[in-house]
Amino acid sequence: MNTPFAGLWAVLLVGLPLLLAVGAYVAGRRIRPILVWIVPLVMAGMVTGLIHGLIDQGPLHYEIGGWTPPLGITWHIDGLATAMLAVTVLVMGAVCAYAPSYFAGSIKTASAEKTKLFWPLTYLLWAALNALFLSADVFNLYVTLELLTLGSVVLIVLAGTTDSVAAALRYLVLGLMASLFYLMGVALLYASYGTLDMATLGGQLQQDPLTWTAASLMIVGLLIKTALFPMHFWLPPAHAGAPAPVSALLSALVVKASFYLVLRLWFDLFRPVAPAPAAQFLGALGACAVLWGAIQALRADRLKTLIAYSTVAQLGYLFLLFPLSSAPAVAKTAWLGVILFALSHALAKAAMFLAAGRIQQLAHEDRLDRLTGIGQCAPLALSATALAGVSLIGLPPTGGFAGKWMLLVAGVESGQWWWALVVVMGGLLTAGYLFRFWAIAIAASEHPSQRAPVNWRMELPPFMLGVAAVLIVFLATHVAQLLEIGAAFPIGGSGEVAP
Amino acid sequence: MTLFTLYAIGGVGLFAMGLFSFVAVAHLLRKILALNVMGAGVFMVLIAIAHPERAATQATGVDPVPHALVLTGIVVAVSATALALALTCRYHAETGRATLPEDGPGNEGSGR
Amino acid sequence: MNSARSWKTLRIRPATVVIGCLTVGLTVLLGWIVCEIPERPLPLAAALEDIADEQRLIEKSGVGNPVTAVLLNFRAYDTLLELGVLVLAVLAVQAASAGIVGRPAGSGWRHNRLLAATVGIVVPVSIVVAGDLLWMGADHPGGAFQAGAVLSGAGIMLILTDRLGRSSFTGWQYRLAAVVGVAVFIIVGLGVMAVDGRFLQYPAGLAKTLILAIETAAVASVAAIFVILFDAVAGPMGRGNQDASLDVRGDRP
Repeated sequence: MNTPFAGLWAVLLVGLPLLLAVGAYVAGRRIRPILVWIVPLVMAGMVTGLIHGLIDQGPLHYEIGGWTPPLGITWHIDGLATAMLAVTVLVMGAVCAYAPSYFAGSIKTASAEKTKLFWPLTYLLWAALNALFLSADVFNLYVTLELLTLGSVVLIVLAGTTDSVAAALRYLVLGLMASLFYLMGVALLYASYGTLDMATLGGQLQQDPLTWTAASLMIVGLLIKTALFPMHFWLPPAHAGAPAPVSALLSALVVKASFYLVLRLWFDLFRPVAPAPAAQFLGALGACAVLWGAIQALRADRLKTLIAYSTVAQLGYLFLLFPLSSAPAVAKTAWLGVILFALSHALAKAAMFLAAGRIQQLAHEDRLDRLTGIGQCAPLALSATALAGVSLIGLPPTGGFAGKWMLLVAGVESGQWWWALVVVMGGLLTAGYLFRFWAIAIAASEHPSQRAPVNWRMELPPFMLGVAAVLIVFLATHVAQLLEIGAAFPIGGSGEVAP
Repeated sequence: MTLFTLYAIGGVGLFAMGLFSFVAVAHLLRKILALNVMGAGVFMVLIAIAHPERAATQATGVDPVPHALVLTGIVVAVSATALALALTCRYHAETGRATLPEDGPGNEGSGR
Repeated sequence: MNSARSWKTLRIRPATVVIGCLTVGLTVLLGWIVCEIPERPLPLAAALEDIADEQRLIEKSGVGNPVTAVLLNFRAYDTLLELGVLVLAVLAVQAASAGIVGRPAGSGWRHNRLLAATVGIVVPVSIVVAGDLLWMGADHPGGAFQAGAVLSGAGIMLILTDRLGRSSFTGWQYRLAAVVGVAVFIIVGLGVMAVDGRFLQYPAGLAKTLILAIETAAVASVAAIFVILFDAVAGPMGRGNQDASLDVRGDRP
């Protein structure tokens, strides 16, 4: 049923960051070098081991404590979970390499106290993300979601500014309300079906008002956390006000985690019982997010606000999956496309935020109209934004292109051409606001600034992430094969069959 | 009206009252209290589910799983409330306001 | 209504009415749903045929109290993550408390004789009660969280009477106490994997001992963390007392 080592890697992927987080809290400075360099490599090795186990043996069902469901909690380790774990390792590795230089050179976070807190918090966030991606028990997912939300809020506050405190408060209270919606849905599901395990639930759900209400409550809670239009207003201040490495983590990973949960709940549980208009409604909200986020990004006056609104827009694309997957012929294409898009967006957005942090430090300034000519000072950082931006716009040959292409194909072939139109328009608008930034950055400035020496620790990680966002297209077929292991579709999956 | 129904409807009522207060009132402390009331509502629904007449798991007693869920939920709610209160106090100390900027005029003039 | 104060109370605006109607609608919907939960055969009941089966399962878990069995054996992983959330709360109040300056004000109750006598009785009794709850939690209602809460109540009493101060919480001892619960839980969980099992799969016979060890560490953690949380927000040096104008009623500064 499952190899011992694969289970060990999964356990360590959650347990090791937790132990290191508490160790960092107690011992602090002594273990910091390990945290910055060695541990991300170790975690990458474990994820690779997990992928090998997955390819050899198919999806793994790991019963924690040895108790079979519905008594105990299980982990379902399939292709989708592993892909998310892999992207998490990549982004976390870059952030860990970047963060010490950022905090050393930052003007606002002068206090060493704050940097002391960054490492335990980041590793707790890593543990929460891994625990969320692995879990297949709806209440356990609630606990991991809370860990994730609370961790993100505290990381935002590390910026030290009043705006960051306000943004963190807004995110916190909305996130807590969303978690309570989710928990009420869980309570109703347990009342009706008597189990919290997703596999058991999947086989048993029936179409009745209680299931619809529970599903709606859970999904609405997760939509608030994913900042889907119209509940997106908390995201731009939060992601723009946080320190740059934290913004990268939030935009790349944390909002993807709640989207991943929507994906899981929809395809593993609720799709057979969901009424058809629900999928169209989600798609409509996604389309609004794409357009509205892009328009606000065009109007943004600060670099990080622009990137944050870009996140709002790009998250909208992810929700086009739901209407597109309701047509069986293109469901798999849409599913693969959206996940590929999510993975490359995580890499690209993290690259953009890390590079923006470097630019902000160099210019001591965030406002776009003061950043004229910044490209001369930090060419490597600007190249990182260029690589990332090409993937965000969706130009070939990048991961973003691969994802959008599959969405376009799905939209056209299923006759839902309006979603394809949204994808195209979104791409054009993305190009609009990104070119706006690049034009400012490469313009000749009146005050010729000195080219600063390349800070490799701050400029190489975003560059590598940008390269990864581009290269992922060449690995697209392998990624697709990985994703199909254990997928919830009857076609191509070697694991669970859709209910 | 059975005991289960009574508790469940009570829980639903608390949830709705908390939700209304959260959305309609601007003061941050009252929002945090509203969240706690919502949480209490969800916990009441969970406890109601553990009632013997509902739970077929324990022929003699109550279903222990919702009790464990509520214990976990209470601890998580306490942590979240502590964080929210600490942040609210910090926000008030820095700005003199007790509402988020989009919510209302705030407490100008009576800050430190 | 005085507009300067209206933001602290409920304004009857169109938006409020709409929200009110939606909330009433949600209440009615949820209320109807909980009354109409259909009777279905529950999966666990199908697995356990009779009461004897249940007894055997509880015995296998190592403890007699079913709630403790669920919390610390069947769904121990949830409890582990929950202890992690508590650690996160401590980190959070530290991050939010940055920038507090000044001498600790002190509550001034340290020398009050009535309080001194009360503290002298309540604190030792709380410690004993906490220990009792911890031990009895295995077979009767009680357990780690209840014991930790009682112990933290004693700690809060000490803070309020100036016997325990902010300077006590900055040392490594309190940080260690805060994290020992999670750390012991994970180490035990990983350790039992070496005995040819899964994560958190206690070997037969050792279950009760391991659960007690984890619960003891959890009591220390919960007590320390609640005390730190209280002190950060409401203790003499806490944020709440630094700023008396944060008043919920808004009638006076």
